[in-house]
Amino acid sequence: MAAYLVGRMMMGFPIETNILALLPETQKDPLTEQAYRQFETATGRKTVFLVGSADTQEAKAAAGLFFGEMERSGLFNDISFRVDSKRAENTYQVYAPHRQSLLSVAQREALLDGQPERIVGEALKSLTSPVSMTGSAGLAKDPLFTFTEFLRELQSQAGTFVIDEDMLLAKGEAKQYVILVGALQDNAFSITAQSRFKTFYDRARTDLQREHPEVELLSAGVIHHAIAGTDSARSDISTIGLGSVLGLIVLILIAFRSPVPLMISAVPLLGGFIAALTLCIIAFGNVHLFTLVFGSSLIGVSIDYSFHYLAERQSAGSAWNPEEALHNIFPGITLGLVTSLAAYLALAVAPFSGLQQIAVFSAAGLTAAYVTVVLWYPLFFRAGTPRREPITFRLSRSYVALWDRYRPKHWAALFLVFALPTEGYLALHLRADDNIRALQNSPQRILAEENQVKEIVGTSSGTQFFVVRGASVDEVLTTEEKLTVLLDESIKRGALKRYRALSKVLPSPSRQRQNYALLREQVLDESSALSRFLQEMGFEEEVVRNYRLSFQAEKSPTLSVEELLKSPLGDLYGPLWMSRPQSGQFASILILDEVTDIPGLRKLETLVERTAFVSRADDISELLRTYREMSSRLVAGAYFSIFLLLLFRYRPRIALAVIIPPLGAGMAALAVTLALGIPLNMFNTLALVLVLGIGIDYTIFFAEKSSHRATTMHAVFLSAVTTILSFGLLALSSTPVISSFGLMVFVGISVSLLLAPVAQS
Amino acid sequence: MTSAFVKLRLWIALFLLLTWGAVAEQGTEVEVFQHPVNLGQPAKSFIQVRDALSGVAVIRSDFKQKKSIKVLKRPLVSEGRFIFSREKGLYWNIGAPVNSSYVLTSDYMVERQKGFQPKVITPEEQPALFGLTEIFEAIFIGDLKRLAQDFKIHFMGNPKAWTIGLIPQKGILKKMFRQVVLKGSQSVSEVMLFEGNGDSTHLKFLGTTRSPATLSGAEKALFAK
Repeated sequence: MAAYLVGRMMMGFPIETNILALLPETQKDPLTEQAYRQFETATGRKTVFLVGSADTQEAKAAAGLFFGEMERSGLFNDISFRVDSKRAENTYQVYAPHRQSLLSVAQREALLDGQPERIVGEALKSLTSPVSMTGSAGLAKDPLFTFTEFLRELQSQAGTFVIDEDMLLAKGEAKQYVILVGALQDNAFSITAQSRFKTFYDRARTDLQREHPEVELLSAGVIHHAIAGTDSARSDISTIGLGSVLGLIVLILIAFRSPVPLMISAVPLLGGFIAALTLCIIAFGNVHLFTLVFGSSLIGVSIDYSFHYLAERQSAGSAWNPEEALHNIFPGITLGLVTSLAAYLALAVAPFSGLQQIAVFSAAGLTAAYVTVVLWYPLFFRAGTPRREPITFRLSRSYVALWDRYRPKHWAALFLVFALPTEGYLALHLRADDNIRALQNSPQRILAEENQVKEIVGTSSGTQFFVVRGASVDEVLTTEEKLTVLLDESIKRGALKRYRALSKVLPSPSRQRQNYALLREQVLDESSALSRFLQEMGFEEEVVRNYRLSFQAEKSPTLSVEELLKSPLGDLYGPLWMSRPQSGQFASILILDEVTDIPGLRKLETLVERTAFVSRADDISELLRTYREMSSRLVAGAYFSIFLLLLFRYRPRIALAVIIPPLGAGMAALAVTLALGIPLNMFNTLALVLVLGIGIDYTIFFAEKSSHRATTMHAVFLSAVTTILSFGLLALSSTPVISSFGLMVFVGISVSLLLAPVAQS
Repeated sequence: MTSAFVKLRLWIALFLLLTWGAVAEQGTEVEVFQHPVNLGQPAKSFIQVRDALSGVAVIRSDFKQKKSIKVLKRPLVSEGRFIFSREKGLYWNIGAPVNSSYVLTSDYMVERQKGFQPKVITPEEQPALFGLTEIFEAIFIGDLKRLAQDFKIHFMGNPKAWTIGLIPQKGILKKMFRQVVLKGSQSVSEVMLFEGNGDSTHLKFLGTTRSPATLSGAEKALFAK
């Protein structure tokens, strides 16, 4: 196993850091998922950099320097910086041959309404406008300004940047920003890519500041979030791991007063960790960073087995028999392992790959630690140790004695008197929040910078979109055209700010054909308003004749998707088009930006056939809600079925005594979250499963062993402290969902520990 | 960016002079280009003109515009009135042949035409256009400080009668204009825009006044969205 692990390590350690990888696929149809993945891959690697200064020349010089650093870093396989000066012209060249089939919305409507005069009026205005840029060359080919107007409309789709000589410039409040966009070679969630990016970015920033101290550098992209996520998980692992280890060292030294158990206890831990990591990589192909965060809590649980054995050895004193000791603790630790495994496997019920991974990791680790103790400890600890009563033991004994003296007679009735109203209160006041955004807690600094970039560049990241499907290119684009009418209205209502759609730059073939027919009819008819305009304005005869000739053909070839995507617009619109995702199927994506009215937009999918509204975050949140409800039922069901099982083994009174401490613990945990205003979600609901799974161990120990209650209390105490040191420390995590999970376990286990003696017979 | 689509065709000045005889007669719009201004050490008369022009708060004026486009048999003539306010921007009203008006501010641009919905354009939608309107505005009022950013400046004459020649240095402007000539005394009285393809626009400003130096309520309303 270790050899396999070492082998894998040499190949590069497969650690996954993308928090979304923990989540299941949303239950949308495959085409939608595919659309999302396509878009995500296209955009997920893009990183935007803005180099800004009040002085455009300085910004450009600094951008040149920055570009050099980008190139040298070798991190990017595609950097857009210097804009092809022919970009605009190349775009124009793609449209120009189809100019007779392209109309602006207003002009198209004018012709459809039978009011060509409106086109004439616009043309006249354009001719006299102080800001028009009408030249002879353009006018000869486009005397009615139809193509010019189309291009003008097209341009408003292009975003808020201008091309200054050879660079893309965006205007901020007081500065001009040069835009650089780099496509990362590696996945942003690869740890090596992240550390290489950090090195590059720090150096580039320092260099930039040295050469151009006034220049501002802004950046946005998934990589920044990914790095922040990894950093916070790393710090969690070190807090929790280090906290657990230090806590355990102190605990062992107090409880066993010898460094030998300390070193020996490390063996099952190590074995457990190696087994867990190996199995996880074999089963999932990688280990998620979150699993490691969670897995660091494993230390505390797996050391329990060592504790039981060592405690046995300590209390045996000179009468030490290693085999008999094992025999003594065997039922206890086996039952402990089985209940812990059951609790972990309950986690795996939800089809979240992350939870499954945590479950497999923990189950493998625990089992390996258990096996190490059972097989190896009796062979190692041949000699006994003097009998001692460490302070923890004495504390435990006093605590049990305290219970014996003050134990209320009708504790069960008393509990119910307290429990029922509490339960009612909790049920009424607990608040749930399933928003996936709670999982992602990128620092404010990153979000603010991202917003600033968005504001300046005016592009969308887009987690809400429409998927449009059809049996042909035409069907997809005409459907988009229907949908965009409704979207434009929605913008006016304030339901969203803007959107990006292929049909906005590429009219559907049907629309192109219709445009051509509409215009052709007017131009060929010499008495039409448009023809009269050409006469009255005094266009040269040759110009008019050539213009008419360009409409001779009854049909004009339409501008195709392929042609358009080959143009410079392809980089912006290519990711929106899905050619043949399935045989005979075409689909496209419309990216929505700054959506405020999700239900309103969702309704549109029912108004236009073959469209589907997708809100990634909301779909996941919805899923989380389903699983929260499911895990709540799971918790309730687990309490109930465990109680039934207990009834088989114990008399009802004892069964009640065994189930009530973990029940009280669960309620206490809920009460604390309520008091602190922490909403419930799927993850902390699952914490209740662990509270039950571990808490029931304690009471079972008491129910099983009628003698040596002080020893039992001591073992339970040590076990609870280690669990708190491990899971409880998760409460310190910087990720809200993990910390609330940790808090619930902390409260639940503490209460379980305190109430455990209730179960003594 | 629309102009970027206009193919660059460099026609020589000679052709212009032939098609528009009036220009040839006067001559200063040709001669001025032999007098480049050294912005580091400009002549005193240039400084006087520059300061006089840039100190302006409000300008009101009638205008006549003659646009000569090669593919049209006769020039397009239009006339109207404009109001410039340093605070608000430019209001440009064309009375004939079609009644239409334009408001150019730094935040928005509005096109109004009888029988049409007003068209509001924001810099977010058409950033390139706003860069241009800013320059047009600077041309119409002779804001030399602004123009010096994008043009090579030439000057001849005195504060009472001067000619300024502008040659665009880069980007879109260079593609649009071959050169621009301004003439005036107290303020700009004539603007000539020569395009690379031989088209030209000749604007004459008549009855220009600078007072009152603040806009009346009615005038302010003209700048509204």
